[in-house]
Amino acid sequence: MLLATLLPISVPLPAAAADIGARIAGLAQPPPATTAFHERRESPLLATALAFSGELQRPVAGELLKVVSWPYVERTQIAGGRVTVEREGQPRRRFSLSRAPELQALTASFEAILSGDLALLQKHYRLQMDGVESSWRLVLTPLDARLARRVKALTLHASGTQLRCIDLSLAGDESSRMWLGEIASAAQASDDPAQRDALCAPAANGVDAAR
Amino acid sequence: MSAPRRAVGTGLWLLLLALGGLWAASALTVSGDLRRFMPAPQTDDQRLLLQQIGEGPGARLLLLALTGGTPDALAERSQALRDALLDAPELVWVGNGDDGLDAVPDRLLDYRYLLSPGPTQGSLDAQPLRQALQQRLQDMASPAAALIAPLVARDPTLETLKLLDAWTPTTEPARHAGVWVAKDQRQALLLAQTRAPGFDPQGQQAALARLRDAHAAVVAELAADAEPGESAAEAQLEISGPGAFAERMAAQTRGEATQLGVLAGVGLLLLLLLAYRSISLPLYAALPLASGAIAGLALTTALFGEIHGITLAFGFTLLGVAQDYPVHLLSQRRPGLENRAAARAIWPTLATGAGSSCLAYLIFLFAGVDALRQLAAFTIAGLAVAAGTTRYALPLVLPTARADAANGWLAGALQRGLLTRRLPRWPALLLAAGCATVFVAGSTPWWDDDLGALTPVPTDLLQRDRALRAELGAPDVRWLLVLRAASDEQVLQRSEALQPALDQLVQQGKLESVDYAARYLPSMQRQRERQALLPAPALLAERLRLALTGLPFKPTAFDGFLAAVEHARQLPPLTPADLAETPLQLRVATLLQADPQAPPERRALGLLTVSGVQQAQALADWAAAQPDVSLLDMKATAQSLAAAWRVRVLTAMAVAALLLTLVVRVALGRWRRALRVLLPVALGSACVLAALQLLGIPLTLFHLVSLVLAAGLGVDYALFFERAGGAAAEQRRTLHALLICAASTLLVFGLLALSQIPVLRAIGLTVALGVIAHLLLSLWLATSPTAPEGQS
Repeated sequence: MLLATLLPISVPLPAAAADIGARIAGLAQPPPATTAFHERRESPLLATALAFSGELQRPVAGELLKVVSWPYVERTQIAGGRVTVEREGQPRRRFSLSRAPELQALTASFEAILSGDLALLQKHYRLQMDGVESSWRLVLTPLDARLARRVKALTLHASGTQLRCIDLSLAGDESSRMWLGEIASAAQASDDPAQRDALCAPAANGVDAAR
Repeated sequence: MSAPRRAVGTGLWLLLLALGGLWAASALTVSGDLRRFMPAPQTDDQRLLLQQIGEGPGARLLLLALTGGTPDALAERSQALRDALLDAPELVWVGNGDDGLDAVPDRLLDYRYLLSPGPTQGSLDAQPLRQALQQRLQDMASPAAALIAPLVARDPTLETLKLLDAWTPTTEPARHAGVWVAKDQRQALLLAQTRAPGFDPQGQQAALARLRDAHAAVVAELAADAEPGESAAEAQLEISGPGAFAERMAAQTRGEATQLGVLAGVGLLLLLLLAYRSISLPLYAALPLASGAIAGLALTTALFGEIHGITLAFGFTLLGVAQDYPVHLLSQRRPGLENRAAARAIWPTLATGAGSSCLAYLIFLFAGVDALRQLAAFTIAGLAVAAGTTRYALPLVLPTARADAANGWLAGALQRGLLTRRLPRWPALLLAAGCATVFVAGSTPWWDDDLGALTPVPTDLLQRDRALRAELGAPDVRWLLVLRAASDEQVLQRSEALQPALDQLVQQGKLESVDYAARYLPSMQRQRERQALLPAPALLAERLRLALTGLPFKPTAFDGFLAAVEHARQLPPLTPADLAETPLQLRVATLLQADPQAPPERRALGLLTVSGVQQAQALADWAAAQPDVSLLDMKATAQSLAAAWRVRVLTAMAVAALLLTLVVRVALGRWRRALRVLLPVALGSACVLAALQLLGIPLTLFHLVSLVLAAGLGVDYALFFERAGGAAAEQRRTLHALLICAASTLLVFGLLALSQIPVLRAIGLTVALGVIAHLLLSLWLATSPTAPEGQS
């Protein structure tokens, strides 16, 4: 899906593409791929959300890179069940993906979506889709109880074969939204929450952002 | 005796055996504690060594190596295996290098402000606090947020992570993707500590089974997720360590014993079949042996409540000698002679032989080694019952003889060839001189003082274990610094006081690292000092307010932190007992032990494990300069134990030899006759020792006990030859019986000598050599020239 945003060339959709499988397959994108992102993270600890931007990269299947370039520089690699965080002026930090279930969930679903693998998604999540072809939404709810305690839901916002936003809703009222591709810079530039929300659902026809 | 009565008698006997066997099987506990094979410790160091061997953390440690797959796949498997084992009840701790927050249980989290040196070094001052909060903002935005988010509100300075860093072992194995791997990256390495002590066979077995099941499940799960084409077929789990050895050796011993036992049984049956030309006789001959075995088991169970696995195996071996008893009776039977008369005729000789063997083993009761006591009880009961049943029970069930079994060609030919004239006896002196020369000039060390020689673990397994330990950077197995004080608290305080000196030794390169309990758990005194320096609530709140200025955190975001520090100010200091059921307990208990038998002011032990010792002398000098620290050389201590043990066994053997001499002298009535029996036995034993020396084999406990076993056989041989005198028929029957005895014993022990297991090989070789030497020497020195037929 990250890759889908790389190729925003509109592909004609099959006439009756209402089923989830076809929509997911439409998001598939082979590596290597790169896309811009803007992310806003909210937490009960924070008076205002943290905002940052950069690039997501998937050089090969099974490896994801998150490179933050604004407002500071940080590079995170997720590969082989390990997370490596490098930040300017600090020692590299590594930890196991199994210690961060939400990250694991995110990574696994990315991989499944990018390879258009509906079966793999269904193995780990309950899927629920709504919206229309031009603005649709897929809510993934973890099936695994341990994961479900930390991750409430993962929501994909897409338009046709273009993935636009990913929402992550975590336990303890932590949450984040990521704008992908060409809308990332617009999201970073905007101060208006409603305007930012609209970027995820361009049709803006009353799709409720909350699950 | 009529056939029906014999049948009833046989049935009754079998029934008794079955009942006895069932009782013994239900009451018997087989122990695997190798310490039962060691003498009682005399010194503090020896006591500590034995404690370490059995219950010490080292004995509970299992080393795991995962093979088969790319380094990435191995790392993934290592993680999955560790996760699968986290809650296993058989294991106290599983480590693969990826220590996480779960090392600290929630209830102890607030102790971080007492355990970490951070606050004392200023981490809670306004400026460091602000820097920490800025860092946390970035953390919250990064994927690492997942890791620390649960912590941040109560621990914004991440004191918990600092603790984990400080606890990381100073010498670490190589890593790939965060988990321990061998240097060649072809194995992922893990450590597991079992709840059961090292030599609790059932407990270890359960832990091993858990490990293997978990691994199999993980492999299956990963294979299900893997791309087709990625094969998990070669995914292997290798386990090393005392528990794994015990299991492996038990299985191998069982396997080989079964295999050798079947071979020997078939061989014996054939031999007896050939010798007596009857199928039923060899089966009857098995009854006394079976009775002896069950009597031995029963007595040992009654006296000790348990029996060591090795004692059991070894005891059955020693008891095999009793198979000779019925053979004597069978060879004596001939037409016209009542079975009971035949038994009466050989009884004095049989009783002397069995009695002297029993006496020899009786001595082991006083050797001060538990397993030898069990062995003695088992063997004595077994031999006595086997001899008794041969005399009083077997004649009642045996059919009456229809032919003189001893009229075979071999015994006759040997008699004519060797015994019709007196062989010159003086060359025996040459033989004795030859043995003496070998003893004096032999280049093989006499004793194998390595306690490891008692462990029936093959060398290649030990080498593999050593290699794994080296890869894992496990502490040096030879050197250990021991700090003795009156209490755990004093031990902790002293180690804190010694820390600068220890650090200096490391910096000077005398050793690579040192680990001690105070690294994980500071003394109560130090914790109180740190507690006193923690800021009061108002002060900390003010610092926090300053630190938060201009940052996007809510003003109340860190109320939990204020509460946690205040909580830490009120907490009673953490003690070793508070660590129960946490992963830390293991590490601290490893290093903080007790020696209940030491004087009160030295009862608490602090172990300082060292690795990469470069200059042992420097370490010893340093330890000697401290009033309460000593350097324990495990190897030297083990050798001193082994030497103590050897002295006991040798003393026991000397006393046994003396007693044996007296018994034979009393039984035979005259010194001249006694010497004809004893000299071949003594010379035979000397020949065995000389042969072992020439073969380059240093002696262990098992050689010595086997030597006693062989000497017991030799006494039997010589007694029976001496008893037969020159009477032709009697001599031929004796020769027939002894040839069968020797051939069967040689068969059984010759097979043992081929075993892969060092202990079985030692026993087999010693006894096989002994049988040959004793038979030939008895034939030579204890016989009389055959008198012409008819004059006896």
